[in-house]
Amino acid sequence: MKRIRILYQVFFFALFLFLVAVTSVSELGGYPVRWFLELDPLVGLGTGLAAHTLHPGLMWGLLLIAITVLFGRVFCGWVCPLGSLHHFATAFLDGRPAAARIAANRPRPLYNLKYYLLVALLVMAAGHSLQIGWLDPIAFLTRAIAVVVQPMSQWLGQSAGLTGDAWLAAALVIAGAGGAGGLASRWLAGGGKPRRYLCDAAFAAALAAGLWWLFRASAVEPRRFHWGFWIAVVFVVALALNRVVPRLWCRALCPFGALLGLVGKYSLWQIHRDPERCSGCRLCVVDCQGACEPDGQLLKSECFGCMSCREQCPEGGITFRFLPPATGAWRPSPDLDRRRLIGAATLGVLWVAGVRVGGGDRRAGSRDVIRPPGSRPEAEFLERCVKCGACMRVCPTQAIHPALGEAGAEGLWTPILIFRAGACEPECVLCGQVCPTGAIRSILCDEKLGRGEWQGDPVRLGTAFFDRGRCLPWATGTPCAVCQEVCPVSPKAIYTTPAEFVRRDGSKAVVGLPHVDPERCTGCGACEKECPVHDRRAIRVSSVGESRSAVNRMWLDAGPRAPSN
Amino acid sequence: MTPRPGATDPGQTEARRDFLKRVAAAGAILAGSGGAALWLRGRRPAPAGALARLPSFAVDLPPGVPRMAIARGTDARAMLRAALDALGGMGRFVQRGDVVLLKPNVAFDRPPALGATTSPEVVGAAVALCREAGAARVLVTDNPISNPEGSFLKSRVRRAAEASGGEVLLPRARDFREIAIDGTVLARWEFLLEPFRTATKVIGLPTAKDHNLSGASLALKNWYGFLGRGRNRFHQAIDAVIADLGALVAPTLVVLDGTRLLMRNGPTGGSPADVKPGHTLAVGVDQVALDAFGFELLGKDPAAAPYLALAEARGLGTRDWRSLGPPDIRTG
Repeated sequence: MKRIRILYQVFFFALFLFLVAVTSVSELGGYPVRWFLELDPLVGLGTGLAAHTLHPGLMWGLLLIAITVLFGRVFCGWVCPLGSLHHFATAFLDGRPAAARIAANRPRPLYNLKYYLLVALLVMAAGHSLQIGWLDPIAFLTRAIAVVVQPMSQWLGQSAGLTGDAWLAAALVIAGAGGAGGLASRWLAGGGKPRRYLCDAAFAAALAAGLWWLFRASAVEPRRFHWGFWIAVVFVVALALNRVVPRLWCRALCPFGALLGLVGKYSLWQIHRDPERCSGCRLCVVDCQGACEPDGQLLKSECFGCMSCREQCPEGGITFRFLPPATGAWRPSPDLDRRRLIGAATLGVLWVAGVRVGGGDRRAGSRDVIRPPGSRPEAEFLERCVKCGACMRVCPTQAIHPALGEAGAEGLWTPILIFRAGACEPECVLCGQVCPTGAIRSILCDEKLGRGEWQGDPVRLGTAFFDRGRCLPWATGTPCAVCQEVCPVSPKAIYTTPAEFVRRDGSKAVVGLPHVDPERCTGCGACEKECPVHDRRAIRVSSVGESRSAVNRMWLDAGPRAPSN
Repeated sequence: MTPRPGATDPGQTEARRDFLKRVAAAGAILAGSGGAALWLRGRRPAPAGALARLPSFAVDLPPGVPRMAIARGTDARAMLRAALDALGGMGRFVQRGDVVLLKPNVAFDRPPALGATTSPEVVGAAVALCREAGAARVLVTDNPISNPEGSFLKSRVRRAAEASGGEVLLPRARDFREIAIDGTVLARWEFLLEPFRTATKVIGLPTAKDHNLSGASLALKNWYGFLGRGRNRFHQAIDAVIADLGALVAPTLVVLDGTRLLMRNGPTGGSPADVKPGHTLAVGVDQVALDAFGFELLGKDPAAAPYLALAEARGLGTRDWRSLGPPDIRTG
């Protein structure tokens, strides 16, 4: 069973890596790249509470609820890619002897924290402030891979002179050597379980192959993300926590695990310890992933169904059974403290009140908050965005970045466009296609560009304005107009008028002075991207005039676009 | 019993050894840090060697062979073959074993119908004829303004090139090196040098399109795609820069794609209404003549283009393309 479980873990982890890897313009192929996030009922529940509607793909969450009702929290032990990563990190980081591991795998009051976090996050969602993306494991890992792991592995690979297949070969050699080394050292040390190291090697090989996929499926140059540094720090800390307590994330922090625990406590199948056979050796706890106390009163909500206990029991006294006799040998869930639950809910309410009065103006729009094309109005956007970063991963021009403080406290790690890094490509709607929650609507190029049914009404992200004190023709009489050259709309939104410029020595020159025609400008940012005034561009797009907002406007006549789906 | 005089106390030996070790370590740290500091102090990066220069890839045409030919029709490969036959066939330019570098214009992430990029049909035909002439490898590259993957994908240049046996090279930062240009404006610039390490022939594949500053973007302007960062400063002296680029790159051959003509709103276009079918393709070794011809395809007067006057004055070719007597061939 344990080996089968490991195969599942490797398979789903590899599948997850693959799907994140192919969330890329060079690997478009109709893969179901949103699937893991759609399968995540916390995404469905959170967005449903916040937005009072369920994006169709999120119906997949029902499948996971059904599985959990039948088998308990097996998602955590068998499927969750972040859980598998923590499992692997624990095996890798935690070299404690068996007795210490038994102690480390005991239930602790700390592990109830995830339930309080879940309550707080759901209260926040009900208050229309969706923040599950901080801790939801699928969103967390998607974001970490898109923003941190892929760029860093590519950078490291390129710096080491590895390209394409050489990278794969190197990764596989490292994985193989690691596995063989572990195996050999285990044998030299006199027995033990070499199988475990084979499993580690298999997992490492899957990881290496996945990284190779990420590497070859990505841009020619490593990507750089606006303050991706903090996402990296959080990711590394989350993995390092396994050194302190095995799977601390899954046991104490994961709100998704808490949700599955609350469902799984009613599960029909469960671990059953035969008290007749139990000799009380506690070997079943050595590799216990969930800290569910299989040697005593089983805590059903904490059990990942990892089967380690079943595998370890020398007496064969542990089985996984359908509706085992209720002999008082198990408890459905830990005792949650009512005062703490109320406290968590209160914190959620306070969060909502706090961000409403001091967390950024979600109604009026902020200059720097330029959302991807097809994004819903800001309030609705924040009710749906789970900060997974899939749009950042797929954006071919790397225009989309995780916000730090730009979009207010609520908007941490939500996608914003930074045109210095890249412009929004006119014939591209990939960000909406990969968005699992419809925060960015999946639109057609025709809608984006104002063709066909949408004739004359393109999706506007904002409006470009000249900074005449910095623009070369305006400020210095030097010919330029790169902005006009790259403006992708037809007719161009940037035009020039000839004007006489008097130089310092009194000589005169005629230069073309560029202007923006706001009727034509869609705020794509091509001009800002290419402006030669490097540090602070002389033409910049701000969000005013964005199609999605009824408030963030400047003209009398332009009404907002009604979302069509 | 007291130790014999002269005998060494083991404890003393140990203390002495410890003392020597510590003194040695302290001395090593002082000497090491001092030495490193003295070595690094005022150190300057090693003077760079002379900057690389781009060799000429031109081939000598025998007397009597026209330096330019025009083909009209609808089938890109037939047109290219007919036009090249007038110059003696592709075999005059590409021989067995050559590594040919093709430089189409893939500046933007746009579909072919918008006329902002070289037609995939023309790229495919050029790759196929190079392979037919025995080229060992046909490299296809450009440094787009938009994202490279997207530009090569959506322009369909990648698919066309690979289907005909070409290799697409997407430029990476490390493929660029500063080279000597010694032009009137550009002294030195970052250049996409990596493919030139293996290439033995260079063929330009510009497309004919309108340009907001230089009047048109044709053969000479196409070399812009070999240059690296800071290109957006070229526009401050665009005509002189284009002439510099013409002097910098001496290609084996240039194929001007006039199958789709971006008549206005260039160089990006943006609407199919800006594009007119051209049914024309011109090949030649005189870039200035090809550009002058291209201006006329776009309904513009080449005499009004300052960069062409500069290029002609620098001896890069003649604006009077008719004086070359190009055959004008109608195909299928």
